[in-house]
Amino acid sequence: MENPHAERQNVLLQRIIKNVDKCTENILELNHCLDEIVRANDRVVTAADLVTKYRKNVQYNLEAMRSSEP
Amino acid sequence: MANRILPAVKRYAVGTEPVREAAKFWTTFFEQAAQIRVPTYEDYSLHQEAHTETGSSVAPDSSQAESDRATKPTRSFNPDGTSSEVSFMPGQAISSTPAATMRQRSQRGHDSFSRMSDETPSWSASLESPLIRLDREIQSLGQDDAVSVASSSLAQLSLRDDQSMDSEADITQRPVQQQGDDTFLQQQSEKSKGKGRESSQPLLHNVLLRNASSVDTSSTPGHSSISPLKLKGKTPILKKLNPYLPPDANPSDWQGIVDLKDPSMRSPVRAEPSPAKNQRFTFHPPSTTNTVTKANFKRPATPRRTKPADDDDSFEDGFGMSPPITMDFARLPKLGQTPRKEAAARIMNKLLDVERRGVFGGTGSATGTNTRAGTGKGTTEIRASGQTTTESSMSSMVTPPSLSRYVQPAETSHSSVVDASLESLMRRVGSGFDYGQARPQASVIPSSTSSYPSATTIRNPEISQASSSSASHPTLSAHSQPEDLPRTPEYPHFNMMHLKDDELQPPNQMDDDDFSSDSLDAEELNDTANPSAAFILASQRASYDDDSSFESNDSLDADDADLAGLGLGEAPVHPFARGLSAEEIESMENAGFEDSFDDDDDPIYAQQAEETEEETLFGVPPAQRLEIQARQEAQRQQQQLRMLGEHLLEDTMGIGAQMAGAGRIEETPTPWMGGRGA
Repeated sequence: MENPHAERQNVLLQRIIKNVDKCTENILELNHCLDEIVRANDRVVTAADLVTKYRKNVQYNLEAMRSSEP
Repeated sequence: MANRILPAVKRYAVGTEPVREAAKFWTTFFEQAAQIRVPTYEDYSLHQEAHTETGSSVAPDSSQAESDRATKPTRSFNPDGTSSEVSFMPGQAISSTPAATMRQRSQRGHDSFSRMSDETPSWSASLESPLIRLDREIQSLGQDDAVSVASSSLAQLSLRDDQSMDSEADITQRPVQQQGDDTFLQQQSEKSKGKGRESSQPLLHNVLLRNASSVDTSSTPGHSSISPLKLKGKTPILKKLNPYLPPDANPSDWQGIVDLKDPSMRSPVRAEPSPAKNQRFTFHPPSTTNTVTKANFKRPATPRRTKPADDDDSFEDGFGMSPPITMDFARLPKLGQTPRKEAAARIMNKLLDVERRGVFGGTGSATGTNTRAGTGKGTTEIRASGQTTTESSMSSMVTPPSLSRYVQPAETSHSSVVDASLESLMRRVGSGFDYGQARPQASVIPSSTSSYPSATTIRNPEISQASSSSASHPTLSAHSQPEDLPRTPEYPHFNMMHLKDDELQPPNQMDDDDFSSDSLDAEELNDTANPSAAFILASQRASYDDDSSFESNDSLDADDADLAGLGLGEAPVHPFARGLSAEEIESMENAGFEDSFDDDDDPIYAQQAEETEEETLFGVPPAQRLEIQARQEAQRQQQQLRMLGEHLLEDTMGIGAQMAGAGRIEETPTPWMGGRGA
């Protein structure tokens, strides 16, 4: 046996690998969830922008109407 | 980490669901109003899938757009090339990836073909012809009303961009181009808007700009020839199609100012021919019909879409009521439901589910029992959470544990104790919401934070239970009492700790449970100062509970070193407030948490007792909320488990002994402690 500690080390390495794999999967899942969240957030941003634009336009139109009124 | 972060993220997703639905509702509303289509990921995918009206070729192409790009271009283009009518726009809009790339190209053509080629070298060959065709088409369309067609093609291209190429780069290009835009460019930008989310930003900007411009200048929601709903991206509104244009008025003379007060203006007559409208309707998928109807229903100003023949009177009378519109009525109430209620209901359901699944992660050693108990309590928890739902949806979402669990501290299952604490936490959080605003978005955050306290309370009972001797409690209480003297309430101290004290507790107790989000949130809130203060107290208490706590702590130690560290942080806090249970202290000690906490912080914090709630953007800070609630809980109940603060107090009062038997409380997934390192 070249490395007397090889066996024990291998066992530990296997454990490490297993844990790392688990972490990787979890992280991937996390990314997936976060991606969904980001998607939803974009929609929210869109809605908010639309609302602000709408209000801005309405405001503008009202101002214009007021100015145009005799 | 995975056991705590992921659940926290998922909880956040659940919590934001109401917000998303609201956003979706409003986007459809505006889309209908402006007859445009704001590109989104969903739209894009739906567009591809639901696009069957234009033709089988289109539909299959769209569905497979992403997968089969090489072959798509030709097919996707067929509809575009063949149909110059508005109705075909949707088909183009669906655009398989090849089409999208082509559109990009066409769009890019103005910007720079080189860019496109760089990004999609693989498609250059296949896209060549469609792209060229598209360009020609766009050119022809650019001059006339059939702008929509071009826009749709652009939209397709932009869609393609997202999918095939690194849309990001394209997108950035697009907005730049669009700004310098001419009509054609605008069209292109609009089309690009129809693309997926990646390009949605620039597209969105363009859409919004166009919306703004269209509203300001023309204020014409209707679009001439393109089926507005189906069409992705903005379709320019032809002058003569201006719904607000007075009859027989020169479109060019339109001032762009619509007298919204004028009833006659509210229902602009659609200049579009009925065939166009019919096309629109036919093309629209079920979703679009809803939007159409909604638009008609929602805004009196929206041009009547249902029947060109309808006069304004009929429109005003019935708001353009048509069978589809009635659908909107039915839907509107649902949509109009306060997000809070919906969110609350949803959250409760989710809590139930989570509870059943074992809210505490079930990974920790002690979580097993807790999980079981948790599932049982899930229902009660939900109910308890329901109480807070009214206050804020957040609280309901956060804590699965139910108060009922806490009612019986001595029960075998730790979760019961935990539940009680969680429940008290929830109540605290819920009450905290009163101060803050339980907005749907905010709810997410508070809910997450509320979960922390619940988690911590859960652990506290466990920890306290772990401690064997009730004698330790008296000693602890004796200890804590002097501590309390300098400070009015513990909670204020916690507040000073930047809302960490309570949160610190849960992390401590949550050793068993893997917190995903709890740790994250706790980290944000916790300050290093808290641990120091807590640590000191904890150490003090630990001395009393060495024997008993060690045993219980052993289990805790095994959980997480981080948790132990957090526990230390918590312990000092608790001792100040009420004195941590022996277990907590032990756990903290065992964790080997910093021993060098500054005592100075403690007194400082003590003096700063904050009774008032500080409001943050999302309402009362979670920790503060919890503290307040804990305080309320303590006053209210003498149950075994209280809110984080209460929990400690109980321990000192001797209730901890009961909890000791329960053993370690599974940590709640609530992200109380950030220091978990999860």
